[in-house]
Formats: sequence, C-alpha cells, structure tokens
Amino acid sequence: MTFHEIFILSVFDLLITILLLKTICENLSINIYRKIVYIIGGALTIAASSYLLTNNIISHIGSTVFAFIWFMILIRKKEKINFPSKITVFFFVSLLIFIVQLISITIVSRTIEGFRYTFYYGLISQSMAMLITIIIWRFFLFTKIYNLIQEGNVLFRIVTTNVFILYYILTISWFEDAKNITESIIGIIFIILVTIFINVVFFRESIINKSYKEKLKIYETYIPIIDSTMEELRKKQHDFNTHMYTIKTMNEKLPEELKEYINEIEKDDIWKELLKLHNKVIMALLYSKYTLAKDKNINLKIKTNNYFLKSKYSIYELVEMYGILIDNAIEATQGHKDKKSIEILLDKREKKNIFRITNSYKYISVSEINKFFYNGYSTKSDTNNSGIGLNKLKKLIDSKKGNIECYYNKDIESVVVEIEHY
Amino acid sequence: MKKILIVEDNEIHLKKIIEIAEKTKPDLQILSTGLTEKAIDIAKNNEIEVFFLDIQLTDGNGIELAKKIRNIKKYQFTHIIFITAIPTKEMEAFHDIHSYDYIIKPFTDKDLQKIMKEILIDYVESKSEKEEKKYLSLDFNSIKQRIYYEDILYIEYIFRKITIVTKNEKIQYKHIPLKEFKKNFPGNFLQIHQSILVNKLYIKKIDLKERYVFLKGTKKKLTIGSSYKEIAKEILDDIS
Repeated sequence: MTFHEIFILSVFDLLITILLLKTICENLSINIYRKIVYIIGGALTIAASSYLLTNNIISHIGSTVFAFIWFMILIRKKEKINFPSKITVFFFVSLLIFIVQLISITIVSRTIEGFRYTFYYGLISQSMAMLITIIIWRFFLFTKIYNLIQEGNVLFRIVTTNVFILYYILTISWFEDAKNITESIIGIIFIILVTIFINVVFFRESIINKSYKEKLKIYETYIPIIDSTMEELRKKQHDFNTHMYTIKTMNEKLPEELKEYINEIEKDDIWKELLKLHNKVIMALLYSKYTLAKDKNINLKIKTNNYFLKSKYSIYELVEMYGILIDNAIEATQGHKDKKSIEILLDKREKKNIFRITNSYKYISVSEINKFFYNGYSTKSDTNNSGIGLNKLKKLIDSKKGNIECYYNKDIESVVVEIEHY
Repeated sequence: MKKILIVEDNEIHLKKIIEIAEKTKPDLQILSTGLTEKAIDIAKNNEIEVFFLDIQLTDGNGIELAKKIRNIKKYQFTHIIFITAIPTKEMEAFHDIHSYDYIIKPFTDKDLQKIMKEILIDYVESKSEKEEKKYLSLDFNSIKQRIYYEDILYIEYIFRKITIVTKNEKIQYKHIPLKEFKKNFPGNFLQIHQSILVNKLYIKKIDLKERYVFLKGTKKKLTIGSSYKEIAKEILDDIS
C-alpha cells in the first residue's frame, strides 16, 4: 500500500477510536482542534511507520506504539482517571476496534466476491466499521465499564489486559500468515469467545466480591453502634442486678406475693446470664437458640460461669461446635413427649472451657450413644437430621485434644453432652 | 484472729456479706468500709487474709483499688474477691496477672457461703468431688460415657475383652485385665472367679455346692472359681 492509502485507512481507525471513546467516557469533552491534531498527527505517524518499516510485524508494533502515544495525548486532560486506568481505556478501545473491524471484514469478505487485502477493499471494510461504530456510539453507553475503570477495579484491568495481549498475539500471527486469515477466522472467533467467557466468569466474581465488600462495609459501620448498645445494656443489667439483690436481701420483710413476683421476674430473665458473657458472638448464638427453643415450647436455661471465654478455637469453630450440640438437643427434645427442657452450662475447669448441654429424653443405651458420633447416624427413622454434625464435632474436639463426655443421666432422665476444650 | 476486709458502699449488701461471713467463720475479725482511701489505710495498718471488693464504689473503682492493694508488698498474693453485678472488661484484664475470684450479684446466701468456705476455711475440695464416684467412666473411641455402678450386675472378662452387664444392656468394652479394671470399684463389687466381678446388691442366691451365684432379674448364673469359694462363703453370710 502507498503512504497516502495507509494514511486514509488510519484516519478511519482514529475516527472510530474517538467515537468508541465517547461511548465509554460519556462526559469526555475534547475540543475540535485536539481531535484534528490527533487524527492528522496520528494518521501521519502511523502511515510513516508502516510505510518506512518494511517488516510487517515491526511496522504493526510501531503503529501500535504511535497509536498509544497519540491516544494518551488525546485524553491527557482526563484527570479523573489515573495513568493505569488510561492504559486500560486504551486496551479496551483497541479491543472494541478489533471486534468492530473483525465483524466488518467478515461481512465484506463474505459478500463481495474476489475479496483481497487491498486499499479498495480496506476502504469498504473501514466504511462498514465506521457505520457499525456510529450505531454503537448512538445506541450504546458503557457507563458501568467506565465506572469500573474509574474506581481502578483490579480484576477488570487484568481481564482487559490479558484479552488485549491475546488479541495482539493474534494480530501478529495474522501478519505472519495473512493469506490464511479468512480460513482461520472462525478459529480466531472461537478462541476470542472462549477467552471472553473465561474472563466474564472472573469479572462476575469481582462483582460478587464487590457486593460482599459493600455488605462488610455496612457491618463495619454498625458494629461499633451494636457494641455501644451492648455496653449500655450491660450497664442497665448491672443496675438491675444490684437492685434485685438489694430487694432480695430484704427477703424476710417481703410479702409472699412480692417474693413470688421477684422469682418470676428472675426466672424469665435470660439476659441476666447472657450479659455476663463477654463474647458477643457466643452471646448471639445462645440467644438465637434460646428464641428457637422458645418457639418450639422448649424451656431452655443457660448458666454462665465462664465469662471471659478464651479458646484455642476460632469463634467460627466455637459457634459451629456449640451450635451442633444445641441443635441436636433441640431436635431430640422436640420429639420428647413429656418434659421439654434443655440446660446449657458454660464453665471453666482449670484452664479448660466446659460446655455442657443437658436435654430431657427417653432412656438411651450406651451402644446407642456410641453411634451418635458416627457419620450419618439418625435417632429417628423418618428424618435425616438427627445426629447431624456430631461426627464433625468429634473431629474438631479431637483436633485440639479436647474431651467429649456423653451419657444418660437417669436421675434427671436426660442426655448429657459435655465438651471440655482449650 | 484472721482478718478480712469488705469494701462495699451499699449498706444493705454490706450487712448481708458480714452476716454470711460471720455465719461461715464466727472467729473472724471483719473490717469494712465503703471508701477506697480508707480501705488502703486499713490494709496498711492490718494483716488482711482476704479482700472482698465491690467493683463500683462511690469514690472509685474496685479494680483500681485491687491494683493498689497488690502494690503493697505483703498483699502480692493475698486472695481478692470482687463483688459485681456484671463481669466487666477490667476484670478480664486483671485476671491475666492475678489470681482472684468474683461473686456475681444477685447471689444467693448459698453462693456466698460456698465461696467464703473455700477461701476462709480452706475448703479445698468441693463436696461432690469428695464423694465417692457413683459411676464408672468408660472411653469409647475418645467419647467418654458414664455407667452407674448401681446399674451394673456383673463384669466378665471374656474373649479377651471386658463385658459389662447392666440392668439394661450388655456392653462390650476394651481388652483390659480384670485386675486392673476393678481398681477403683466400690466395695460392693466382689470377685467370684478369675474373670468375674459381681455386684453384691444383685445376688439372689449362692449355691456353694454347685459353685453358682444366681442374680436378681436374670436367669444367668455365674460360676464361682475354685479359689474364690471362701469369698463366696463370706458373701453368703453377709446377705443371709
């Protein structure tokens, strides 16, 4: 191709670039002079490098470098985005141009008989690409994409960069063997589609991660408020306990009705025990299970003597272990016809933490209890839930050299499970 | 005479604590105040055995007072008991460096008495620990289970394994020699054979001639070992 032919075709490339840039950066305002300088200057340098450099690949790389420099000059006053983001915009626009031109070449090569890679067909193809670009510019707006670029989304950058690299490798290989491009065009499209698919998966993950981050941000905002509310509640409970104790010390002077009333108040006060616990997560777990049991008409009592629970287990593991035991106790008690009661004790023995749960149940033999801790065990034939997690609990306890004691206490007709752990 | 110091600004609570302390150990000299400064003076001028400190005091904090007490050389290891309506974060911090106890309000007379007994009259072992164990603790694949002694009919070492026969079931346990296994058993369990340990409470009849022990609630008869005939005779005398 001659110098002026390359120049004309490059003008198309640069015009397409400006239009696509406008579809991404809606508020981008570039004055007309800069646009003219960009188009003329860009087209001249690209044409010169392509004309002077005889090696196709070197000439292609040279054109890209000039296109990049001119692109940066064009958007240099776009201060809202930093340099890495500007590079991402360049990569993204280049990819769009590639897709548009690929579509136009495919259409032109399939509709015009005797298609060859000459200036004439190039002009038709570029006109077609221009038409497609105008349609995109008029009807599409990539605001979300621009937001991702603006906030410096790392995953979007990675995806764009690696697709751009792939595209670039493809274009270089095309220069190596230009004649075979039409035969391998389906192959190229296939590779691109697979790449896009993989990248979309990554991209989706990044959006999900972002939504989690936002949720976490909300939690982080409210946790200090919850903490101070808890502290306030604790103070109130402190005062309440002090007043209750003062009244109780006057026991002899109190009328029977009042004594009964006081006992009634104390009986239903779950917070009296829960607020002694300094671990808010365990407190929340116990409270949630208390309300769950209450809904099922189960009388769940909690006694806490281990106020500052310190453990080798993470909070997540403790919640899991205690949760398994409470859920199993609730489920077992539910099936018990007579007394429905559960008692939980949090205690300390030397340096070990004790969690003991006692639930009313019919007699269970030693061999039956042994089966509890095997995977897939069920106490009921019509359910798959019973015993769920006890095997997991055993593994967790064994992992840090804790102990499990499980037995039937015939005196109180209850199953007792006690775990002792550091 | 042993001296204790109670620092409590609530008159009613103070009266109650003094009452329980007097009941627990009548020969105690009980000193009390509601002010932290005065508490330090009393501590310096006396030999206090145990401190009872309320956490929230009118003129200060019980934890801070405890720290000041610890700074007095003679009280570096003296027992401190905090009285509070709710366990506080400060208590947790204090816990890491000093041994102490606490009573949570509203506590019953029994709670207070228990802690006072432990501290004031060196009540090292609680009643339940002192009592003879009522159950046998078995380990099944690191799950401990309790078998109440009163439910066990007899124990037999058979096929190289301990078999425990209770009122409700037959439990196959580990390979442990009977001699070792029976070590902590209560007195009502007697060996009548090299491999049989029987609970005297379930013996219905003993046939010395045929050398059999018949049990209540089961048709099973246990063989008396030839070298255990004398023991069987003693049991027979005992139950008849």
